[in-house]
Amino acid sequence: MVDASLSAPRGRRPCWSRPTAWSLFTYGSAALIALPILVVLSHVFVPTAGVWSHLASTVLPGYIASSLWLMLGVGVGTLILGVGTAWLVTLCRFPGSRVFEWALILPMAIPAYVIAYTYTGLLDFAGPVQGALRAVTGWGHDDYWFPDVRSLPGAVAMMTLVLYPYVYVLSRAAFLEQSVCVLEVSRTLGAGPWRCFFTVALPLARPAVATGVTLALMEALNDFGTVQYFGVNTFTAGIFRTWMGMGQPAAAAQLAAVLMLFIAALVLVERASRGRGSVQHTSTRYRELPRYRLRGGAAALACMFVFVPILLGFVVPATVLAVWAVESGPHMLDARFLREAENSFALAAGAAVLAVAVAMGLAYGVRLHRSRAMAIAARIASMGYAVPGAVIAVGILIPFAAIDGWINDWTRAHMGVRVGLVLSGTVAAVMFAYLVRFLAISFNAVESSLDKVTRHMDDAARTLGHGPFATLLRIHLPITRGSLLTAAILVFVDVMKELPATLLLRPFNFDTLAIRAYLLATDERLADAATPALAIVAVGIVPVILLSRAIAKSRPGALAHDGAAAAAFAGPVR
Amino acid sequence: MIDSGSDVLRFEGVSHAFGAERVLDDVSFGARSGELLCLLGPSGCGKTTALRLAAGLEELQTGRIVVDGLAVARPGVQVAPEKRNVGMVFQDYALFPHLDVLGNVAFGIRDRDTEARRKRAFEVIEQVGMRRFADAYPHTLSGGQQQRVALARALAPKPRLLLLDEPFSGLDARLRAQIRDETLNVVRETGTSTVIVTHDPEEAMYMADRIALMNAGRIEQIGSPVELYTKPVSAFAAMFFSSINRFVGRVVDRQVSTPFGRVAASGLAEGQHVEVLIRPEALHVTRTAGSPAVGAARAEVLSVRTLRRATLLHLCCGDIDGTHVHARVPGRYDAAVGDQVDVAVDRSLAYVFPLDAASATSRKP
Repeated sequence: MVDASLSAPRGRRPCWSRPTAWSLFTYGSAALIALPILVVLSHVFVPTAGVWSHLASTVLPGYIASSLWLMLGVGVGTLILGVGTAWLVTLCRFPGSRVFEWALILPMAIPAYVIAYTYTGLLDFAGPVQGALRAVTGWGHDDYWFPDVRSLPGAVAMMTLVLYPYVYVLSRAAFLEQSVCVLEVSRTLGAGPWRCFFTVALPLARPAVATGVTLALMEALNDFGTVQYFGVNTFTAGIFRTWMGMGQPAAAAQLAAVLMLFIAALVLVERASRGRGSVQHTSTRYRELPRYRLRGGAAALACMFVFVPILLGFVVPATVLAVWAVESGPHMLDARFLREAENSFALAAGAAVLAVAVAMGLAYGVRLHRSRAMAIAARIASMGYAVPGAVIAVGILIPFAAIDGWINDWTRAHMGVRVGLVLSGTVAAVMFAYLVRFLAISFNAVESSLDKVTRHMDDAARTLGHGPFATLLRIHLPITRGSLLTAAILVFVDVMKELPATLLLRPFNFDTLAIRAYLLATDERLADAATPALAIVAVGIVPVILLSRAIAKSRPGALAHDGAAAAAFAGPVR
Repeated sequence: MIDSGSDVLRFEGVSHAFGAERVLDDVSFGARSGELLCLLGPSGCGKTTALRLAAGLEELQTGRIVVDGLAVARPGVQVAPEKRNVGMVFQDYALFPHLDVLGNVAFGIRDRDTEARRKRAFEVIEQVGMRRFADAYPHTLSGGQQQRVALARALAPKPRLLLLDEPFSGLDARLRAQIRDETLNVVRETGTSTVIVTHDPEEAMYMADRIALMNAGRIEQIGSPVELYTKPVSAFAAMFFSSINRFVGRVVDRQVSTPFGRVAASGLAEGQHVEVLIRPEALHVTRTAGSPAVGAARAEVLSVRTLRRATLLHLCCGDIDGTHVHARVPGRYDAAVGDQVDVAVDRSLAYVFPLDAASATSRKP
């Protein structure tokens, strides 16, 4: 009826507009959220009395090597699993392909450290697998070789199993978006399925695949629980050891700065691989993709290729956790567990509300002003997702501790008392870290949902006597309510799972479910760790359901998919 | 010229640019209280920007805008749109999707009392004939119904000034005429001062008390529809309202020669290159009866197109250089291709403008 472009703003916007409450809020948030990263980077220049040179000559090469191997392994693993499964379920038809389509994202519900604990319990010497092997064969403990899960390859396998869905979801969406015509043309030109895949579909999907792999690698670098438990010395593990073990915050910050180099390199590679490939789809006609119908052996192979990741990434660990939880549950479900669940819930709910509120403020501010400076500030504010939790924690703890020091100096000088820790080691510090890290998720969801409100609706509300804030309350909030809830749920779940930042910043004796699972596993009480771990997985299922609903809707022909979950998910590396 | 005392909206030397693109260039005009003024012009001439500036949706850069005697925008002062009491109807209606018709219309009513708000909302809904749809949601309404709701919503707070931005462009031709009539009636009934932006000259002539014709960010001419049609001040103004016959010539003895005889070129320099514009209905076509009448030219009929209320003839004036002209005659005209006819010109509808660089750039509407 009416051209959609009518609602687009006309003309170019000024780079700078007069400061208002909204713009001050936007610049303030951007500055606050950039603070931890700036702190970390600035510590490159802080002298550390030989600690750094000591690190550099001893452990640093090992950190670099492990991190690179981990990235390489997880990158290749998620690429093969993610793209392979996506191609099979979108363009081939075989028994169960419809179910696999959404089941393939189930492993996302399991944090890497949880899957690491379950497989360790399952596969180590005393575990059921090796036990059964010995019982069947009659071997003694020195008679056979069995792969050690607690190793670098083990860590790669664990992370690949839970991180491949990032690649899967994005490549699947990319395959779906490819117009049928392009694929049909390549088939009429005589290209078989394999050639079609490698010469047409994959190059067209490359930007999405690159984004997916980048997200998976960022998660891999962020991981602390798995590498710590497996004794793999990546940067994150090194930051913890330098900070907690050696008590050298400045050196930890320097390690964090080097880790940031890795992240920056990742982002640059991702940008470059998308850069020229900003693929324009030449046709906008969509309909049911002509799927290759697989039969017999091919169908069985396809089934297996798709089912194995689900089996190993979700079914096995979830079952093991459930069995352990039943065994250990009765004595684990005590007052302490409830208190931890309460802590987790309160932190997650608080962070979710805060992240969505700040994101709404940012997105609405950008919308009101439409100035380039504010758009850039909002981008900076949503950068934190790329930064590992350990780096953020270090970047928060250093300035907070310094501020606490000043406050105490001042109060002692003027009032003769010490007020103790005001910022560091409080829930405020933990919340700040969550906000820095997860604002991107809520911001992208909120921003994309605001597209539902046309500019003219804003204008109409204004000419009808409502100011910017009243307009936000009466127009934008009601219209985007559903998406805001989705965004809040996504942040909620990510906070439930978060380990490294919580571990570094939490107040003394303040435990969450994730912390408890980590502590119990570190004490080799894997069965006991199952109860909090299972609780985390159960909560983690919620966004998976949301995402799978979005996926079900995003089949060709019904391409108008619910943007919020997808945007929040794919957005962080934009 | 303009009785600025009764102006409900006045632009004084307003200029506006988006980046390097200048969209309004020293625009001054006034809309009188109670009148319906049309801002007419080709797309990109700045008319929508002018409307948005009046509503406060764009920030003023240069000049002054006065609404109801109050300078709402001048350098350094910018009254927010919500404080201007100016109603606006958008091209895409921009109804709020989460509110029903009643909710949409009541949105802007300032009454604190809920019952008073409700009463006023129903009053306006009644006025636009949407009573039956008071609890319908926008997406269930047709384009015409949405337009009525948008109009009701804008009128509900009793604005000092109503602004309509291409309000009928989203409707198909048949519906457009009907909705246009209805809108005109409602606006007249309420006596609201109104400014309508449109690119359609027919619409402007049909609705407006006065038309402000805009071109490339400037006001080309302002006046009643009849004035603009019969006394255009420029070639652009003449050409914007209809397709037109155009001849080029030079002023000789304060006259220009055309295939239909000489036309007065008063006030133009001798020897000046000029263009002569003659509206199709200024050509009076009669059947050839013997020798041509005085001042008439002989022409051959090339084609006959019967329109709704007129007939369009394509003619070839053979006696000079085979000039192709269009004539519009009222009613049906019985002629066959190849017929010889006499053509005379109503000189009051023939316009002469100097041909120079400035007018050369603004030739085609």
